[in-house]
Parts: sequence; C-alpha cells; structure tokens
Amino acid sequence: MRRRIAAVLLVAAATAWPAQAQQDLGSVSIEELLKIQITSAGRREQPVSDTAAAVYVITHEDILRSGVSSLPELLRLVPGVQVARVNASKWAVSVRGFNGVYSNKLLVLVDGRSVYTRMFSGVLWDDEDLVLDDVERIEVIRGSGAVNWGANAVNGVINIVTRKAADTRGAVVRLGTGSFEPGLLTARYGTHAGGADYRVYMKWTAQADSTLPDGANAGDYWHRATGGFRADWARGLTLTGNASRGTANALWIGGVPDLDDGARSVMTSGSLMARYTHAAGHGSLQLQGSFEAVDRDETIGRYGDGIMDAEAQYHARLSGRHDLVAGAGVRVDRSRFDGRGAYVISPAANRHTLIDAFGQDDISLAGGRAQASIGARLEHDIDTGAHLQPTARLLWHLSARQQVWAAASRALRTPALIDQRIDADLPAAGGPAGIPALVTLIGNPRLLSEAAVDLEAGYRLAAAPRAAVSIALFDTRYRHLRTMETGAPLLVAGPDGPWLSLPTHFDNLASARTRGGEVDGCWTPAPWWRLDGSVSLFHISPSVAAASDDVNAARSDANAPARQWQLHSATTLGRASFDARLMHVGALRNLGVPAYDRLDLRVERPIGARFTAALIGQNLLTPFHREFVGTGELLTATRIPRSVRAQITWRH
Amino acid sequence: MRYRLLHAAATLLGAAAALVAGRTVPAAAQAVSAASLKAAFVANFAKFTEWPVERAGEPRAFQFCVVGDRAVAVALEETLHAHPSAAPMSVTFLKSTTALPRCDLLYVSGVDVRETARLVDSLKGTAVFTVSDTTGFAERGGVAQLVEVDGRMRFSINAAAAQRNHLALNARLLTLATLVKDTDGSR
Repeated sequence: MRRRIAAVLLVAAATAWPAQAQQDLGSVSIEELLKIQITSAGRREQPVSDTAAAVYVITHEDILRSGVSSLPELLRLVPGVQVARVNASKWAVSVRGFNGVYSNKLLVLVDGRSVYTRMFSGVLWDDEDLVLDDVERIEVIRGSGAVNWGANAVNGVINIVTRKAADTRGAVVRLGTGSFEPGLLTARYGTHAGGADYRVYMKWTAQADSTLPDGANAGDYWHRATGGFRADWARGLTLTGNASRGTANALWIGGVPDLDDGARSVMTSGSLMARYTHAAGHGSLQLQGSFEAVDRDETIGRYGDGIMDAEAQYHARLSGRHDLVAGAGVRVDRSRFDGRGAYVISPAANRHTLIDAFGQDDISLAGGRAQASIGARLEHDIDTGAHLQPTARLLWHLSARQQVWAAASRALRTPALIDQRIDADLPAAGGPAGIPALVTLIGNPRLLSEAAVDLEAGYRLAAAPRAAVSIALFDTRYRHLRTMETGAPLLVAGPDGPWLSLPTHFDNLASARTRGGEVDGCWTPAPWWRLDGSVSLFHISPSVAAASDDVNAARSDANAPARQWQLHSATTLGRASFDARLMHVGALRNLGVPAYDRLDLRVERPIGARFTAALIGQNLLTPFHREFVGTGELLTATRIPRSVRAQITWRH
Repeated sequence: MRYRLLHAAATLLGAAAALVAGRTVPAAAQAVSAASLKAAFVANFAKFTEWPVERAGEPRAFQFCVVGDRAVAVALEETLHAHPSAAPMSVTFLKSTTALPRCDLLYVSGVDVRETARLVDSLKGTAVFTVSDTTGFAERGGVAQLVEVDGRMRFSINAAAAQRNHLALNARLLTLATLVKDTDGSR
C-alpha cells in the first residue's frame, strides 16, 4: 500500500538538476581519474528524469544548506507546495491547494512508512521529527498520479528517504540557539558491527513564543525530544524505530466551554518498521511491516492511535521492454478519542481496515525513446467499499536532454474519522436577542470519497552545460468535495440558560476545477555559484450544488496563494558556504492573510578539522508576519517573528 | 523597527564577512558524481584503444552507445562537446539492449547475469568495446568493468575478451586496470 520502491529509484534519478560545481573531467588523465572522490549525494547530477510526473527532489545538500530544522519548513523549497506556519508548533502543508492544519489530500512517507493519521486523513507535523542531516533526500511528486503510492495521495506524495546507516558512520553533535529557536541539540552515532551498519540518534528542539495579532505574547512555546535508530544488514534487511515526546501550548480558544486559553498538550509517538528486500533473477521482492502508536493528550480530548501496516511487492524486468511492479498491502488502524467538553468522536473507539493491491507496467517504446506507464490501485475500505484508481502516463525523450510527458489519473480521498464520527458544539456568531449560538457538527457515516481526475503535462530541459528547467501544468477536476450543511436552528435549554443549536453535517455537495503550473530551474554560472528558483501558479473555480448552503465552499480559494515564487543563491567561497533565499507567497484571499516576502540568509564555515559554525537568519524582511488563520476557530494563528540562530557542529 | 531591521542585517552581514574572510583554501580533490566519472573513464577507454583497421576506412562517426544510465550519456556528451577530437563522435542513449544499433563502444548499466551472457555472446567477434558497472561483467566476457571502491572508481579489464573483439588496448590502460580472466561458464 505504501508505494513502489521501484518508483523511488526512478525518482531518485529524476531530479532536474545539472551537475553542480562539477570539475571538467575531459582533460583529466586516467591516472588522476582513479584518485577522484565520488560524491555520496550523487543523485543531483542526474540531469534528467525517466519519470512522467511533476517531481522535485530536495537533495541532501539542499537540506544542509537550507538552514531549517524541521520538516515542514524544509518543504517550503518545493514548487507547488504550500507551507504556512500557523503558530510556533502548528503548520498547514499541502500540494496544489486545499491547505489547512488538517490538510487531507496529501500522503507523506518516511522510508516507505505512511505517516498519515486516520483522524483527519492528514499529517501531524508536530509529531514528525527527524535529524535532517540524516535525510538523504525528499522526493515530492505533485499530482494525482502518485496514487499508486498509497491512500489519500490525491494531490501529491512527499517521500522522505533517510540515509543508509553505512552513509552515517561516526559521531555528529550539533548545538544551536536562536531568537525563535532557543534550543537545538542533535546527536548521532553510526558504526559497523557484526555484519550490519547501525546508527542511533536523538534530537531536542525548543521553540519560543510567537506573538498574537495585538502584539501580546502568544504563550505557544513548545519543545520536543525524539530518539531513534536505523540498522541495515547486508542481506537486505532494514530495521528502523523512533520515539518522540513533545509538549506544546496548543492555544485552543474561542469560547469553547470548559476550556482555558493556552492549555498544554502532550504528544507522544513511536514507530517500528522492518523491511526485507530480496533480489532474484530479473526481479526483486520486498516485504515491509510497521507499527506506529500515537498518544495525544490535548485540551479538546485525548487521542490514541495504533496503526499496523504490512505490504509485499514484486518488481520485475521482463524481456527488456517491460518494467513491472505489483503488490498488495493491508493497514489496520485502531483509534480512540475521548473528547473533553464540546468535542466528541462518537463512538470513541474505532477500528478501520484498508486493503489494497496495485500494479504498474512501464513499457519501453520506440527503441527506448518513449515510455508508457499504465497502473492502477484497487483499494477496499471497510466504510466506502472498493475503488479503482488508475493512472496512464507517457514520456517522450525529444533528445538526451529534453523530455515531454503527459498523464491522466484518478484518485480518491476516503472520509476521515472526523468526517464520519464527529459530534462537536463549536462556537458560532451570536444568535438573535443575545442568545449564545453553537454549531452542532455531526459526522456523516455515509459520506462519499472525494474524487479527483487529474490531467497533467510537463517538459524538462537540461540545457548544456550547467542549466536546467522543468515545467509542469495541471488541470484537475474534483467531485464530491466535502461541504458543511446546516439544518434548522434548535433552541436548547442548557444549565446556564437557553442556547441556539445550529445542527450541521458533512455532505459531498461541492466540486471544483483547479488549474495551474510550476516552473523551476537552476543555473550554475561558476563552479562556486549556483542559482535556482521556481514560480508556482494556482487557480481554482469552485462550484456548489444548489442543494448546498455551504457559503464557504462556493467561494473557496483552496487556501492557496494564486502565485508564489522563490530564488536561491548558493555560493561556496573557499571553505565557507553562503546561502540567500528570497520567497514570495501570495495572499490567501478568503482567509484574509496578506501576501508576504521572506528572506533567509545562512553562512557556514569549518573551524579546524572537526567543527563547523553556522549563522542563520530567517524571515529577515519584516519583524513579524502572519501566514495562516486558526482552523475551525479552535486553533489560534499567531505572528511568526524574524529570527536569528547560531549553531556549531562537531563531527568525528 | 527600522533600526532593528538594519541592526539584524548588519549583525548578520558582519558575521558572514567574518566567516568568509577566513583563509580561502583551494578546493582540493573536488568530489564529482559517479556518472561523470564513469563517462570520463568511458571516454578514456575509447582514447586508449585501437579498433580494427577496416573501421578506419569507413567515413563515419565513432559511435558510443549508453544503455540504462542517462546521466552517463549526458556526461559523456558534455565531455565530448567540451573536448572535440579530430574524428567525429556521437553518443546514443538506449533504455535496453534489445535493439542495439551499430556501436563501437557500448556502456551498459544494471544488466543481470543472463543479459550479460546474451550480450557478450551476441557481440562476440564484433569490434565492440563492452563496458559495464555490473559486478562480474568482465569475468563473464565483457571487455571492461567499472567498480566503486571506497568512494573511488576502479576498473578491470578482460584482455582475452578484448582480443576476441579484435581490440588493441594501450599498455597504459592495462597497467592501471585490474586484469581479470574469463570465469568458468563463460567462453
């Protein structure tokens, strides 16, 4: 269910970057060639891709040069991805629109393990922490064709691949402190013993308070500790595990009964994953199993989740023309939410099983100049039944440096737990004659899956000698989008007097068409200087059935800016490296969030043989800016401050 | 507010200048990608090999064929473009070995044992220099094999295989290579 390892390998070779800071080897003697060291981050040099999809790869070097210390912040680098920091501990991340703290059309994998939460079909970004130095690359595939990779990959997949334990030998300790991130400590040790490579790591981060719109301290400071390991055996077995605990001031506000502002929430999670790969003849078999446990004690309630996942897949090359991948998986999710006050999941305990099978054939055509891919995923969800999600793709190599591609796919988002089982009284604008009003939100067990049909096309050029450009266009039609429908108001007698209940339920009465595109490119004017940048455009035309009274759905802008762009300059002067990144994020019209520009600067230089010092400035253009709004009036959005951080790294 | 912005910028720039202004050490032994290194070796194999004379009579370009690794093809093309030789040369990229065009030097990436055997068999006696990054390629009858050892590229050569394909290898190649022999099971 997870995804196809074969696809990952393809994508790994797919980045549209040319060689950067490459030496010209044409005049080097063969004796000298024998002495040259090969870069471990060898994937960036792959100038073109065999993938008929909008792919962007954040390489290991990009990660090291980004200066950020958390995953969602890193995803800002990717064109077509919307990242908005809501407050110190919460992010909204989506691909090609429909953004929210509970974004539900995006699949995120860490070493092939899906980290989506059944509660809202989204990702708990405050739960996912990694030592970013140990991440080999992050592959982001935009569009619905990513559906073969797993459930809810409607708008895209973010695939995080950590480094092999053999690539992280030795000790690394990093200490950092800054104005918005007062504490950062990471430590990792890797070694080889008993026929296997191991690494163990831990990371601790502390975030300072941001400020409320009126300038008051938001009190949303948080900290989190994560520890974990990875072990790789030569015979194809990999074992990973991690545990994390974080404490945040969650800032649930808005007059929800019995709740105080800024109450603490404690988030604990852990996971264990085993993967076995066996190559035989023309094929390879991969088996993977994982278990994840989440416990979140938050002001609105306590949420526990246990996820078991098993998958088998077989990859075979047949007759030199066919490259076939097929597999099957099962995912069992047992969750429990004990609401406090006004927020309840009914029933509290839920068990959900998802079974799936997938297959894809890549067929080489025209003597290798073209490649057609046909694939489908058959998914059986205990609530919504069986669904087929097909994709068809075509890639044409115009030359060794140029490709065009096109794709058509269909993808589904199965309803989340909150869509089906929520029972909550949420504050609403006051009723007539000063009577308090509450929206009584009731889940809909018969809610349909949201469906997307996605048409995409793209072009890539690796222009000689040191430049590349990639263009992707999309036209996606969504049906059965979730709407909130309100029934006739009810006057309810409560202990504190009467209140007005506005009964509201979820339905599937909206549809939308999104169109847009992303252009990204890079240029290496000199061996010590690289420039890269991207522009992302997004347009949505929503439409709502006449039977719906959801006014928000009708004017939705998918919480995505119509335009965003960024420019990054990376220079290496001697042993020092200097990075400058300028970003523009357009306004979020419906949410009333104005456009903002962001400037990040970073300088790093080794001190002696073992130490490296870095100085990082983020959001330097303005003292504060806002990036999002609170969601459902339960979560407060704050202002993100300008920040400066210093860090020192010791390697041995 | 403006003062604070300027102050922050000045602090950062000052620190940046301090860090950059340190000793500038020349980037010694710069690391390069495996693909460009492979391409450089392939170009050198062509340079230090003599093809049979009948080839010289035909007025046609020297043909490199690269199968399975597009990055090597592009890197090879760049190398040839940057350092044009007297004789015209061209690079063709192919995804598989099923329908090979005429090649003088064939680089194949990621072939398995069976495909290696088939390839070596079908090219036996033709004037094609075969290279691969697959383990055991030279032992199974391929002319040369590239292998990554401790982050550096090494190559091995099967002199008997070169002879079978009527290729005369320069002594410089042979002295730098790990020489291998056909293993049982190949010819």
